[in-house]
Amino acid sequence: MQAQGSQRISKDDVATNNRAIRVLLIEDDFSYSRLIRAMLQFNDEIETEVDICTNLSDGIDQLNAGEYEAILLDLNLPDTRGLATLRQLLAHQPNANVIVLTGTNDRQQGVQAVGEGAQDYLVKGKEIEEQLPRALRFSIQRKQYLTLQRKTEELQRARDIAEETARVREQVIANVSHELRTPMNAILGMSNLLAETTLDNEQQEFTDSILEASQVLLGIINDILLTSSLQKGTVDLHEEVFELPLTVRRIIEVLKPKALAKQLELHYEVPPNWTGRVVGDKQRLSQVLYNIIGNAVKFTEVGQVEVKVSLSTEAIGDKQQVIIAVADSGPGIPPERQADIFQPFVRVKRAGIRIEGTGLGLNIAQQLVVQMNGDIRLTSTVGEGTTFVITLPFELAKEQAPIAVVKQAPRRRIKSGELNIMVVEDHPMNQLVIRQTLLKQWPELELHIAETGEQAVDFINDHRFDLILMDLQLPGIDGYETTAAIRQSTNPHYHRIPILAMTAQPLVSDDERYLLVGMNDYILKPFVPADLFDKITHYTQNK
Amino acid sequence: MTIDLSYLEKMAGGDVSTKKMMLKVLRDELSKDVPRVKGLYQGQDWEELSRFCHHFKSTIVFSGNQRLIQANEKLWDIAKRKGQNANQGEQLISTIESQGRRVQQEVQQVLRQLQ
Repeated sequence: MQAQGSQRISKDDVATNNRAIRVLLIEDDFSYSRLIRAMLQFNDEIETEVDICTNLSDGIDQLNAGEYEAILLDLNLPDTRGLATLRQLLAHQPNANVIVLTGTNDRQQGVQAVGEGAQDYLVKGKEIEEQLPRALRFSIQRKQYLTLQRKTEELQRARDIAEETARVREQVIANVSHELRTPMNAILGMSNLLAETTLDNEQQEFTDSILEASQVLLGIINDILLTSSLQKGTVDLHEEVFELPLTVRRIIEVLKPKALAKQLELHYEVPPNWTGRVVGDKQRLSQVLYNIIGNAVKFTEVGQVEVKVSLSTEAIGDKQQVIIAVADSGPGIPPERQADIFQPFVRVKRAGIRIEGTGLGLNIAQQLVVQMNGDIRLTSTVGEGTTFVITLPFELAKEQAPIAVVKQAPRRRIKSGELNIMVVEDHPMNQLVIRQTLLKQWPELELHIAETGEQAVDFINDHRFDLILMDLQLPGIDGYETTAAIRQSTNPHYHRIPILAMTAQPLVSDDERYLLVGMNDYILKPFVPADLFDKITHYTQNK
Repeated sequence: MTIDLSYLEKMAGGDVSTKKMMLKVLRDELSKDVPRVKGLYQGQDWEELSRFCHHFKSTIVFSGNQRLIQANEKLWDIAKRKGQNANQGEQLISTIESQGRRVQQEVQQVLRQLQ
């Protein structure tokens, strides 16, 4: 049914963007409804547009047909009476802004109505003329406020759910990646061991394929884990003194075989007469350089990759700006792709060429550079090549500062018979150096040197060592196999004692094979004596 | 002098007897290692040569002779590529032999001075 009539009263608006307030009056007393309408018509406070219904059923129909800012509701109607009227209406329109109209003797009912969801109540009588516009205005404002509050709460809840969903998703990705890494390490480790057995050509080919695919997959998993950590902001920087040119050189050495395999020239240049001793996170810088230089080698088919380190004339506070430019003669990046090249999972496609990778490397590099308060930019011309320029602020180390020494507990003292170490090392020079170095620091140390892995496995049957230093490349069984054999000893003591790899391979930590076979840590050769002492102290402090 | 003993001296920790011991081992190792490198190259045993270049690197790092160190690095690359693009190989062996001899002589000279 249509409402019986409506009127517009042009006055100040409350909060409806200069639109008249739409009011539905549900009142069976025709004369009273006319009175209300007249009251609203002649008041100066608000502009209203009033529709009238004479019973609840019509009122609900009217509410379903249009939106009203306020409902003036008589509780006693032909089709319902008392508080049931309000309850029925709210059952259909739970968010309705209802002002209940009660008789003079029903004031208590008005109070109850407010308790049941009405915004206000008005007692019919001579005071209603004064109260009605104000009640309408306040109820609308209150309703708007409550609606806003409710929407804010809903938005907050939605945001909380979205954040929680994102957090759970990240956690799931991180957990799954982490869980994948363990079996991946096993696949990689066992494939390596398999590759070292006697295989025919076909078996060797299969094993190589498994190894190659496993390494790619492990790299992807590690990238995903690091991206997840960077997004969570849980990647911390660890400052140490290091020689930046040496770090660049080591990355170049690692990537040189890949460049040589493609007949690429891989050069690097550092400022002459610069010691390059800086304070910063060497490992994270290595990761950035490995990604950027590695990409340059990966995408360049002909020509060269050049890495140039230079010093900016500008300083930031007490820090020196170091500029590392990586220029390649690769295919270049089209201008329209350059803006999003640092986004995760973005890869520049090249017709007919399948390039391995997840598209996470540049994103990781950029996030790490930003975390180090640096900047990374690129310039590129299709068909000519790309240059990435990384600018990083480094504090210059004082000349006396020790290089790359991990600060640990104070170095222990060793009494006679207190600590027994086995060094597994075949090289006579290294044997001599390590013997002299350790005995000079700890003259009471018991030191045994095994020249081969087989000898080391024999030695553990006759000695109780507290720590083993293990060269990785040995004649006969290598350091990995020797460690695996020691861990499988029938003597449970050897299942848990610290075994530290000694290697000249700077990226041994990326391989993680040493962890898989049961080594606890590694030390790089040529080693810094203080670093060696600190590691031994750390791993034997409970002895 | 083509040798630079700063690394060896650093590892000897300023102890003269250790330095002498290390120099003797360096001299003796070179006399065995250089013919071994040449033999493996001539026999084209790339796998063993690759392993041995790694071993040799640990010896010659104490000599500080950059020509010897770089020649070994390049030969190692050739061995890792199983002899591919080995046109420089003969020249590298020749460098390793000549520089190896020179290092031995210079080490001997330093040892005499330390007596």
